[in-house]
Amino acid sequence: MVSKEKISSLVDGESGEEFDQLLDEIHASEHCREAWYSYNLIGDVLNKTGVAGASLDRFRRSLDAEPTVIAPRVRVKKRDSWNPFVRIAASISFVGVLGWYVFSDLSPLDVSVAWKNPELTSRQIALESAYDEAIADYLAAHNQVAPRAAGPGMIPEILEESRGN
Amino acid sequence: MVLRPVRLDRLLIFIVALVGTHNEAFAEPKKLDAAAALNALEMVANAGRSLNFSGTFVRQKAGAVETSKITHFVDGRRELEKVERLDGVPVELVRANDEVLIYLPEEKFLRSRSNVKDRSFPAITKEQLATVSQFYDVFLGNVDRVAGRFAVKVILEPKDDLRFRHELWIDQKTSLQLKAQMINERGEIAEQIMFTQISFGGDIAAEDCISKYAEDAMTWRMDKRARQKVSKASSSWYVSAHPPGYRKVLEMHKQINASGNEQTHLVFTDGFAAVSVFIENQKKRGFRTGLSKEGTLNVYRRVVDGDFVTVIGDAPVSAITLIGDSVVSSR
Repeated sequence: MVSKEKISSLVDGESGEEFDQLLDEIHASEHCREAWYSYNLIGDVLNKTGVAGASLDRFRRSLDAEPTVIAPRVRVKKRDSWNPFVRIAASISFVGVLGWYVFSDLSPLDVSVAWKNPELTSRQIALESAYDEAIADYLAAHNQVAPRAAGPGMIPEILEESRGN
Repeated sequence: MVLRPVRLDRLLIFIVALVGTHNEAFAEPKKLDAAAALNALEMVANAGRSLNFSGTFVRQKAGAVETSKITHFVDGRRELEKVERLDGVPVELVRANDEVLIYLPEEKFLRSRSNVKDRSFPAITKEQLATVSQFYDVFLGNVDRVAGRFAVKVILEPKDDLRFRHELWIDQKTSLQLKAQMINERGEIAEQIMFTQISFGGDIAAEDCISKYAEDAMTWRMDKRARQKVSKASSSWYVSAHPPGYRKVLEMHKQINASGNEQTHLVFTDGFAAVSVFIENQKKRGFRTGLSKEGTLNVYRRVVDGDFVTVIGDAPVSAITLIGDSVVSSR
């Protein structure tokens, strides 16, 4: 540890070539730093001569000359794209999709959004069943009347009769 | 009705063309001029009516597969045909010239039709010929094998966007159609029908075309008037502008339930494709207007005068929307 005498002589500008080494030692010890600031403060108040000020300036310049240590720090990277406009757009889209989902009749393709909510999932299943009910009869009837529906030699009118209509 | 066999000279011309393709594969399908294309397809149509053959064919559509057996017999005086469905609900169809009997053994029901003149696969109907000559370009492709036989591929490429492409495989030796595919605008096979086994001539006899239900059917119910009941039903719905080449072939009305829900079903075809129009006065759950697709089919739905219209077709979107947008009520 640097003695208070040495700190005092440093403040007085008397340390000579040892200046840099002393600064390092003062900097490394909290006790020495307190002594350093105290001596400088006393000197500024008593002398007003700038001697202490000269030492402080030298000290500040020395600190400024020290390289800045950038220690790596782990932190969560924020997404720059989530600017306010994107957030607003996303909110509007979500409300739109939700409203459309709730208030409209939907096909299974429309409700393929991956909802995890069990209530919504059951609603989706119900909608799919309803859609099947709506379209299945039409598909069956249509497939029966295709020109080749009954195979060779058949025509739609004949097949329609064979369906018992 | 007297049937004439395929004219040998015309058959030879066609076969020479086909055999040529066997020896020399085309890099690209070769376009036929209109007259040659029609001539070739008429021979295919004729072969389907004038040859004796027996075989098994498979039809694939909308994810379903059906297998049937066909026996076709001609002796110059009469044309007999029997089609037996081998899977699912048993159905047998027997045709004697233009008379048709349909046996439905599970229902113990016999239906009949008269004046049925046209023949579809493996023949080609007159309507199909007319559609091809007007709306398709015909290309001759390479030789392929179908049901163990050499067959030349014939491609029907639509000139407009109102119908699908078709590919036919024609037997090199007999000109009979062995396989047919309908390919939609997404390049998917919308429908396929093909022989998996076929034999010609030989010991096929008229007796082979008699239904195995023929005796039992003597005690079945018989309905000759079903067609009349369907066709005479009048509708307040019509399609004001359907695509060129399409015509309405069927119109039916059904009472769906006691609460007054009614359904009208109209069918339009150009000989190849079928477009169904369903109109209901009560909304079914899940009804949503606009375009969608079901498998290889296109679906178009809209509301007209408060009724709900669904158009389903083996036809391009442009054709079904044209039909759907032309549905009007005369009420």
